[in-house]
Amino acid sequence: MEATDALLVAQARAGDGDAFRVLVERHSRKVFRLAFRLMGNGEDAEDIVQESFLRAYRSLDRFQEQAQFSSWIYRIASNHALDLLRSRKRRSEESLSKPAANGDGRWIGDQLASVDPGPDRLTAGNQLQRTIQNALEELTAQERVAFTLRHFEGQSVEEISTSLKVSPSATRNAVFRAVQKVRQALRPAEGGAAIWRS
Amino acid sequence: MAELVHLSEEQLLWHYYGEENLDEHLGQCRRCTEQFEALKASLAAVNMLTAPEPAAGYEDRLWRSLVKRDASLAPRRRWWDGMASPWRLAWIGGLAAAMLLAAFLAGRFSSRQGLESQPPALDAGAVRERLLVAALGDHLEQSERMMLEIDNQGSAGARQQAENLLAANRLYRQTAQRQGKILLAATLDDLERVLLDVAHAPDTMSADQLRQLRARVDEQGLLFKVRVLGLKLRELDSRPLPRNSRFSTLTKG
Repeated sequence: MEATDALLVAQARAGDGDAFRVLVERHSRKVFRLAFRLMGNGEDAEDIVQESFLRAYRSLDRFQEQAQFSSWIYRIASNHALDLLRSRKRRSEESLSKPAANGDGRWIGDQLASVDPGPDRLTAGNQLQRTIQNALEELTAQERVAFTLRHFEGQSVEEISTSLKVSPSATRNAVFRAVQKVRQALRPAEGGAAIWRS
Repeated sequence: MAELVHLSEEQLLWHYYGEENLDEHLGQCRRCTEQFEALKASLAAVNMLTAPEPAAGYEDRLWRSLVKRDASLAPRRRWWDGMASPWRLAWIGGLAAAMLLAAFLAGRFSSRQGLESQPPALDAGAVRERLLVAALGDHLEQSERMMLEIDNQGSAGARQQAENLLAANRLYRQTAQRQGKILLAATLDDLERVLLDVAHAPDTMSADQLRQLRARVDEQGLLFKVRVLGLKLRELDSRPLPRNSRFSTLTKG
């Protein structure tokens, strides 16, 4: 019979590394998918997963037995992603305030834009995905995490509030603002691609 | 009739996520229904963003990274891990062997006084004991080899071997029990249970059965005990026979 998460946590607490390994094997793929949605790339997602399981292992004593291990590890991953997104936003705001020109005098942002494939080289689907991805990256850290947990992970407002340690109304606001911003980003494309129009 | 108050975008959003139920209003308001459909379409477009599956072997790579970062996650060394580590055997083996041997020989010294009066001649009991020690040493060596083979190659062919070893093991265990050699009897008893399992296993054990068997051997430190005991018996076997045996024998009462 397959050991329950609760039993594995108890064994891991008693120093059984193999028990914790089973928990890692059981939950890491889901945590990776969540982290990928939150961070938008695999490298960051892998870092989040690794750090989250390590944090969980080191704070097993604080794990409440009546809680679900899956919810707990999700919460750790969400919070870690939130911290990382916040620090990245801060760094990017700081770097934007300092003009960073290259040898040819062009902004790094301009250069990146110029090497991107033109619209004719992208399928409509790719364009749309890129638009949404860009819109998500423009969200604040809290909006992005709250929206991801609500929209992709199906968590309730209450659950998200608990994870992010904010009030339910703050969570609702964050999700709503995120949806507004994403829809705003999609609006210019609405004329061309009618797939989401009523 | 009162004018219909239209729903806000936020209300429509929470209706979409199932946290509000506005079906009644939407059933009678065309404008709100259109707005809701537009919202649904936008959010459906967001669903196009898919998260990739990690590559095969992801869990193993992740685990190795975790162990690298926190050594306390490394599994405890198991009986088959230590085989390639002579220094470990030398340290732990020496200690365990000393303990086992002390218990093994305890009975012999206990009858020292009575034996001191025997004439200094080649003791028939000592010869008999030497034969038994050699046979038991062989038996433990074969058992050790069988357990190592199971670990390395699985159970194929081990069943017949276990059946052959089982009868002899029972005899040695009963003798040890009769002699009051508690530790030796306990080790042989543990070994007998493993031999029984292997002897009654299907020709090819499933991965799960094999894992359980290994876990039990590991848990009891059985291979280690058998190995140390076997080495000590070999050592005893290589000593010259006493002219005046001051020891009790395994076979004597």
